[in-house]
Amino acid sequence: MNLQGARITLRLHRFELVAFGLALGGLAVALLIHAAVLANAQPGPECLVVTDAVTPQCEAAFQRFSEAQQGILSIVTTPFLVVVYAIGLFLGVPIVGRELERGTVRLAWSLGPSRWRWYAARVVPILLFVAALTFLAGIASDQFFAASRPGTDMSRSFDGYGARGGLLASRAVFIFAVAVVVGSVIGRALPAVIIAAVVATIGLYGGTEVHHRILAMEAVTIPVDQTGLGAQFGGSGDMYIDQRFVLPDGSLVGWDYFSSNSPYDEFGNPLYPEVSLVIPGERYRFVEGREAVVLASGSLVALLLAGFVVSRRRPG
Amino acid sequence: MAILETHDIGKRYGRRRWALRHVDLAVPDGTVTALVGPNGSGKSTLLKAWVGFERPTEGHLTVDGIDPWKDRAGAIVRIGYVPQAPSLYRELTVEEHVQLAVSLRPRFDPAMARHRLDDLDIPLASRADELSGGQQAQVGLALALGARAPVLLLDEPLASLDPLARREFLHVLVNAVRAEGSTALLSSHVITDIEQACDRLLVLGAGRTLLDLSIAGAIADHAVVATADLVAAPAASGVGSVVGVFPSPTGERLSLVRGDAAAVGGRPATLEEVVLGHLAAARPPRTGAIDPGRAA
Repeated sequence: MNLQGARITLRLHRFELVAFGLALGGLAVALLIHAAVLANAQPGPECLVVTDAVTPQCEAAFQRFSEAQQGILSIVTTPFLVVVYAIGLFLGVPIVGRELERGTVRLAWSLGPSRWRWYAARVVPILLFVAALTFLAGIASDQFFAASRPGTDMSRSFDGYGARGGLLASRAVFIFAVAVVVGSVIGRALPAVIIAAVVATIGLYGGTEVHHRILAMEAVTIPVDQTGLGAQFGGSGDMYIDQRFVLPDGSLVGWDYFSSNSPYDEFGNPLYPEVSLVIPGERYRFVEGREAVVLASGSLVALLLAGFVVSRRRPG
Repeated sequence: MAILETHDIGKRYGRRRWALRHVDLAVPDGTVTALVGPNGSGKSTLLKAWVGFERPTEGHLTVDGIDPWKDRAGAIVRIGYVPQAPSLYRELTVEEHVQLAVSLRPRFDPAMARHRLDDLDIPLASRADELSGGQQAQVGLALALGARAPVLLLDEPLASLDPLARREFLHVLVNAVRAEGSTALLSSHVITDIEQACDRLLVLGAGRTLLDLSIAGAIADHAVVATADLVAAPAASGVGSVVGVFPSPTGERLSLVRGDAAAVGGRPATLEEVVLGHLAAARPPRTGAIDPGRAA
């Protein structure tokens, strides 16, 4: 791959690059602006101390903060995640798929002795763009989550797991790699976008399920009242996995253990102590890094597979 | 010496449809050869097989002694290819196409390509989708020539061009090939243009080679035999209807006469008549169309 080839690649995908760059850049800037607004609206440290009574001033501060949080949350965060996932899809498929569909590969592959070289010149610049843009978006999202969780160290918290930081970029790159390989196999842009969306969703969902099972084996138990039960993540920044009951012999059982009767007495009190299975917030960096490495490996395999398809297939 | 060769090559699509079968060809070095045949005769398949875009089902073929499926890179550097449909990037300018070729092909000659485009008044700053069909074909040819390959393969580049554009295209092609001493194989349906530009003729039909000789030889060795249909028009015995080109491609005796017709004369065949005669002979006979037993 040389700079001239990279420049031509960027030129070929100029529309998508500009459109997604502006969309994601705009949303990331909106998140950063809102993070600054939230940081200013945060209740003072005196309000974050757990006491029996909340002062009227703190109550008003919490109210203002909550309103500021809700105002933009639904407007920005959902489109932000949609664009992050769509960017991989809509930039990945055309790299090979559109060229096959339009027949331009016949020119390119007859000019260049190495299809791998052509493929690298097409994929690498777009891959770098997707990775860089979504990584920056992940940082912006990190700032937003930090501002909306006053008093929480986000490097030790599973709040917003997968929607911020480097993991956000890893997921976007994984979708991109899946889209490239589907585009190179299908050879038509629109069907490839649809199929790639399905394959990437299955891949990410399946991966998340597997990861969740691994995490369940690594989870620790904490008393249920320290978990913030009812929320997906504990207020402590732990990742909530599941709820268990501790039998008198010390073994942990789930709800399915009580197939015929309830684990609560007639007054609604649990017959056995309840505990929560959680991944402590201190493990955030490790868990995030591990998933990012697995996704990066999957992406690499998918991109190599797409290269192999390119090197073998008919130009149509 | 042959620079392009096939050895008993066959290409099958699906389970039954053979696009090519038992084709043995040899294109001599330094010639401009026309590859002619009806739709589905396997012309494009053959050219694509030489570029490494199609893998033969049986047999093998070579470009300057190199099998494209064993050493595709080695074969590609010996080939300049002009695909059937315009394959330009519509987002790119002509100049960017030249730069693309430079980035893909190690020894691409951008000055040569630009010079040819300049000669044809094709603006380098124009986007591909702003060019006419003829200009797009010329850009494709300029890129293929800029590759400075010893072999040029052109897959029906004239198909969508008007007569003037066809003439200009062939003029550029022949001049470039003669100047570079390279070999060109051009598939086309437009036989009249071929006659002026090419020096050899290859006719493919029914998936096999029907004719392989020089254009001059093809014209010199064939004659059109005219007949008068004595039953239908006895009074017009001096006005014949063309019924075939002889010598018969299949080696048959004169047997194409309707009813009680008789051969009454002949003249040198045109190239178009040579080609059409061989293609007609390759077609399976229709029931009742010809009765060899009643031939004159």
